Amino acid sequence: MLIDNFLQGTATLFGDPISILIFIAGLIGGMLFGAIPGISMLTLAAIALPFSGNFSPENAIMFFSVIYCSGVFGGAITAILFNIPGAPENAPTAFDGYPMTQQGHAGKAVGAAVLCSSLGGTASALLMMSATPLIANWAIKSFGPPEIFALVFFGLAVASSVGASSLWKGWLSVLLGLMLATVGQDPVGGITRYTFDSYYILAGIEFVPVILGFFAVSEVFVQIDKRVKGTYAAPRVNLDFPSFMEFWRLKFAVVRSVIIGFFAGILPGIGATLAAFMGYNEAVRWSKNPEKFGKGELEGVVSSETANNAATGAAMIPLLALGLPGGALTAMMIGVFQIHGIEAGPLVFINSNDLVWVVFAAMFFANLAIFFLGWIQTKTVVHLLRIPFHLLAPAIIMMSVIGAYAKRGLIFDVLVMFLAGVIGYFLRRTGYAIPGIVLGLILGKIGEQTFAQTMQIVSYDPIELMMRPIAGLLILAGAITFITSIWRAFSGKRTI
Amino acid sequence: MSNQAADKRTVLIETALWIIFAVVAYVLSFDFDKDIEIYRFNATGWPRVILILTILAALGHWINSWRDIEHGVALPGGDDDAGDTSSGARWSMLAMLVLPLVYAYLLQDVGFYILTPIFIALILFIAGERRWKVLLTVSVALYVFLLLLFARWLFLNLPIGTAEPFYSISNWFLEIIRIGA
Repeated sequence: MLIDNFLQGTATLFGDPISILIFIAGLIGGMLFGAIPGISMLTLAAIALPFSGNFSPENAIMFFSVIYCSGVFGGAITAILFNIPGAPENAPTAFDGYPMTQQGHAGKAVGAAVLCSSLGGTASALLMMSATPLIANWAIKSFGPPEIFALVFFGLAVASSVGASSLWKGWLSVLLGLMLATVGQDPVGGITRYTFDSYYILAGIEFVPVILGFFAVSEVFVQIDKRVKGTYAAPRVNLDFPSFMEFWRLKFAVVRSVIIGFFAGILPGIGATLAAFMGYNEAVRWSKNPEKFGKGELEGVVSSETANNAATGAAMIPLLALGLPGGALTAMMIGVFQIHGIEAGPLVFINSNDLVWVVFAAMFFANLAIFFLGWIQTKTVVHLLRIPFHLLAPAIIMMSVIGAYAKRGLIFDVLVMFLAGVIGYFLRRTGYAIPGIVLGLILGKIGEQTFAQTMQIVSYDPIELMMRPIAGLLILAGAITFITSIWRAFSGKRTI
Repeated sequence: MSNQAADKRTVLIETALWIIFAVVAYVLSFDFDKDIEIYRFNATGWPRVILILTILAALGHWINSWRDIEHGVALPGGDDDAGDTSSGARWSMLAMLVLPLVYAYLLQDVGFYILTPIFIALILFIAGERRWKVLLTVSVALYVFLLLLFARWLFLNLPIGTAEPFYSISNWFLEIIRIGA
């Protein structure tokens, strides 16, 4: 039955030249838009939304789902080569991907990103096809705000160990990120905090300018600093893919990240960004050499890229089975359903089974196509590294300027990006961790919101919170990680 | 001054800066210390816990680093490199850090289209490019690429400036770029 449906969906997808063209357009468009900071796959989806009424319902939904798959992958290449994450979900890829480029292993990093994006997405698509209604019901019932808060707490407990020169500097970096996340309105009463009467930051500090500033702009400053001091060394260009044995050693990391990404994708409001950060964090936690992360560890790239792409297929589960969008792109897909007079939810499997299976087949093949297109990219785009850095620097800065500006059309965001760049430059010089700050910023917002909801749900009773099996287990594991790292720091055993 | 004394002073300044940051932010939190009926911890609970943890982490950093210095352990550094520390190199770096902020400040009045080619050329110059042909070629090529991609093909509305004559010039320029688009 499952195979029949899949073959039927595949035949519909590839039996019509228009469908094939739309599939290719979504694939290439998503990759390109995903790679340009600020001009994300959401921009492409927003541009395409009004025109989706001209497509058949199958082609319209298929187009958006293909954009989602390839868009999440697209930003990995610029994150690895130039420290410019195309979107927040590619930020953890830059933590280790860019140091690998500097060490002359750009080919390996890009190759790993390509293969793992494809693997994560394909595995997620297969899981999605086999058990959508079952998984959706379980996940939605089992994961409430207490479990999501516990997940964030668990993630933060390990965040201090990424990239800083000491454990304390790692913690201070994370805490700075958490503080930045408090700027704007509080999640319960809407009371403004630290806005200094500026309405530009009423909704909080925008992620995109901050991420571009901390990663891309500060990197340009660091490299130009090296040039003017005469210590700059150009990265070697290497097109080698990771060997089979290198991948085989990372098999557990891939499986773990597929599971993390898949469950993060199912949960509304979590999505690919948190999936990538969680996947990365767990790679650090489980590693025998956590001190290598943030300095060019292949497992960091593998974990992040597997997890964020694994979230794409999973995000379709609540959308199709329950009519519940988990993020901005899936919310737009609800709009596409409405344009075509279809109601997303359990009935879609009965009333529009053909449509569902065209989408499933398209996502499966889009993830396979990422591998082949990504392989071509690896052999071509990496050559950009042959251009001397000082000639690339203005291009990186200008792409960042436009990326920061494009999201809201505010010059204020360009200023925020440059300020983040200057602050990031000084923090990096003194051994603080940019990944830690970004982790704090990303996890802080969702952490505070779910904490407030949790407190109301458990009536401010911590015992009631700990009695919830998933939440209790995650909080306990996070607390043990936290206490162990503090104990090691005081006992003189360096963890970084 | 010995290395040990210099390291101790650096750690002390760093710790003090973190504590000052946390105390100032804590004091500022009284501005939004209002009751929320449905939430016991109000809007201040979460940030204040973070700030207290920041002070504790800063003290932890100070205690650990102080102990390491006393035991003669070298403090782990960041991206700071040795190399040329002459005043020329310092001025170049200072110019590199200030230039983007000046660019962002002028963007509102002058606009993207007029300011950007000058900005690109200045970055190249500060980064050490002195061959004027390369400087000119790269600046023009990058500028044209950005215009074609964002202004013509993606129809992105980039800042056109608010002050005259920049506003009129940018509009005229934009019309030319988008001819036939």
